Amino acid sequence: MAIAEPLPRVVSIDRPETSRTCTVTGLRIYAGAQALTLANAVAAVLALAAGGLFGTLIGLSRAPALEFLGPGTFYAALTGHGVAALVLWPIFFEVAAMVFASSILLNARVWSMKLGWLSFALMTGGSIVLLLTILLGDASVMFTAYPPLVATQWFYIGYLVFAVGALGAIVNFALTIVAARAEGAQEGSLPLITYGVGCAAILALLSILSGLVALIPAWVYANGWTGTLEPIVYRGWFWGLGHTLQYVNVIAMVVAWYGIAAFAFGAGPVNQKFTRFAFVLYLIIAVPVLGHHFLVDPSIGTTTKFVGGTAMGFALGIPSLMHGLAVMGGIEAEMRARGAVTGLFGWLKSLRFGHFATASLTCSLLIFAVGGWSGTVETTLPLNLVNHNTMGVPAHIHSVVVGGTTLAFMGFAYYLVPLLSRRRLWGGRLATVQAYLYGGGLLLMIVAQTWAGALGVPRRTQSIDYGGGTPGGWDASMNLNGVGVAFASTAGVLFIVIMVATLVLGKRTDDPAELAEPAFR
Amino acid sequence: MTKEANRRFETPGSLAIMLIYLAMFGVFWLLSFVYLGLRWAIG
Repeated sequence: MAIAEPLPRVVSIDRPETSRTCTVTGLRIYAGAQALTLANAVAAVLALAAGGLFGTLIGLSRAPALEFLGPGTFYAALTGHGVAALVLWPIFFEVAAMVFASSILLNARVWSMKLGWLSFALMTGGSIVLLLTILLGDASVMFTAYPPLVATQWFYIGYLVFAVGALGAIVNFALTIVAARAEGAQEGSLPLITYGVGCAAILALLSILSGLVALIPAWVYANGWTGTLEPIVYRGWFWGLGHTLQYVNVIAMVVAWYGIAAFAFGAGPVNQKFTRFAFVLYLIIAVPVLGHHFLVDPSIGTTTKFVGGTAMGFALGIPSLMHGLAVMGGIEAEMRARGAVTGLFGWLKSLRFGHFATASLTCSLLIFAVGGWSGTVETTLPLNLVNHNTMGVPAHIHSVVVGGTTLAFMGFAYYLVPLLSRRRLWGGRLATVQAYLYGGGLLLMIVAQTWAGALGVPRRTQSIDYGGGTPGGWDASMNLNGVGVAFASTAGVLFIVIMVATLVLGKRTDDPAELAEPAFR
Repeated sequence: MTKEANRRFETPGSLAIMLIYLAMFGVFWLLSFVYLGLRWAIG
C-alpha cells in the first residue's frame, strides 16, 4: 500500500548500536532494546510482587478466621493492591511488550533510547511516589479514589507522573515502528504480535488520556482549590482509565497466548485476517462497554445502561472467543500437521502437560473462560442489581485479570526472560508446579468468591462481623477464599523466585533447545 | 462436506471445545435467572 512507502526520513535513527542474532528466533536484537525490555519487565515483576503482597494481606485478612488487619491498614493495603496489580504491573509489562514488539520483532533499534529511559524513569518515579503515599497511610482511597474521598496530593502527582512516562513510551513505540519501516528493517504487514501490541497501545493511549481528565481535577479538588467535584463525571472519566486499561491487559494477554503458542508449540494462528479483525473489535467495543460500571447509578437511564452495559458487555466477549479459538486452533493445526493425531481431541495427547508452557497457557485459557461467564452475568442488568458490590465482582476480576492475564504473562515471561538474558530458565519443573498451583489457588478463590457473592457478602469491606450478626455461610465462603489466597500467594512468590534465580543463577547459554524447550511430544 | 473440504478443516477439536463452552455458558446464564427468580420468590 502507498501508505507504507513514502515515509518521512526525519524519523530515521542515526545511532551506532551493538546487536546480536537470537539463536532461537533468528531475530536481530539491539543492546538498547534488550536492556529497555528487561528493565520494564523487571519493574513489572516488582510491581506484581507489591500487588501480590498487598493482595495476600487483604485476602487472608478477609477470612473471618484470621481477620488480622485493622481498618487503617486494610484500606491502605486494598488501595495498594488495586494500584500495583491493576495499573503498575500491567502497564510496565505492556511497555516491555511494546519495546519488544516494535524493535526486536522488527529487527530494528528503538527510535529514541533517551525517550525510552526517560519514560522508564518517570514511570518508576511515579510508582514509588504512589506506593509511598499508600504505605504512609495518606492515600487509603482505594484504587478508584472516588470523590469526595481524597488522598494526599502526592498520590495524584504520582499517578500523573506515571501517566506522562507511559505516554512517552507509547510515542516511542509508534515512532520505532515508523523508523523501522523508513529504514527498510520492516516491510509489509506488521507481525501479528506487533499488530496486537499496537492495538493495546491505542487503548492505553485512550485510557491514560481519560485518566488525566479524571485525576487532574481530583488533584485540584484534593488541594481545596475548588469546592466541588461532580462524582458521576469523575467516575465516567476514571473508568475510561480503569476499565479500558483492563482491555490493554486483555490484548497483551492474547499477545502472550500467541507468543507461548509460537515458542512452545511452533504454532501460529490458522487465519491471520480472523485474528487481526478480533484485535480491531476490541478497539471498537472496549470504550462503550464502560456503561456496565453505572448499572445501579440513579442518574443514568435504563437504555444507556442496557446498550453500554449489557449489550456491549456481551459483544466484548466475541473477540475473546475468536482469539481463544484461534490460539487453540493454531496449536491443534500444528499438532495435526506433525501427524499421528486421531479423533477430535487426539491432538491434546501431543501436548506435554508437565511443561510450564502448557500449564500456564491451559490454566490461563480455562480461568479466563470462567471469567467470560461471570463477566456476562455482571453486565446483565437484572443480575447485576443482585450481584452489585458483592464478592461476585472480585470473582470476575480475578478470573480475567489475574487468572487469564497474569498467568499468560507469567508463561510468556518464562520464555522472554531467558531469551533476553541468554540464561536457561532456572527450575523448569518448579515453573510447572508454580503455574498449576497459581491456577488451582485462583480457581479455589474464584469459586469461594462466587459463592460468597451469591450469599451477598460485600466486597471492599474490612470486617463482616456486624457485631456478631453475620448471616450463615458468609464465614465459610470467606475462609475458603483465604485458603485459595494462600495457594495463589505461594505460587506468586515462586514465580518471583524463578525469575530472579534465572537472572542471577541461570546457566548462560545460546542453545535454542535450552532457551526455548518445546512443550509437545 | 466434500472430502477435500474435510481435509482442509484443521481445527475440529478446538471448534468442539468452543461449542461446548458456549453451550455451558448458555445453560449457566439461564440458570442465573432461575436463581434470581427463586431468590425473589423466597424473599
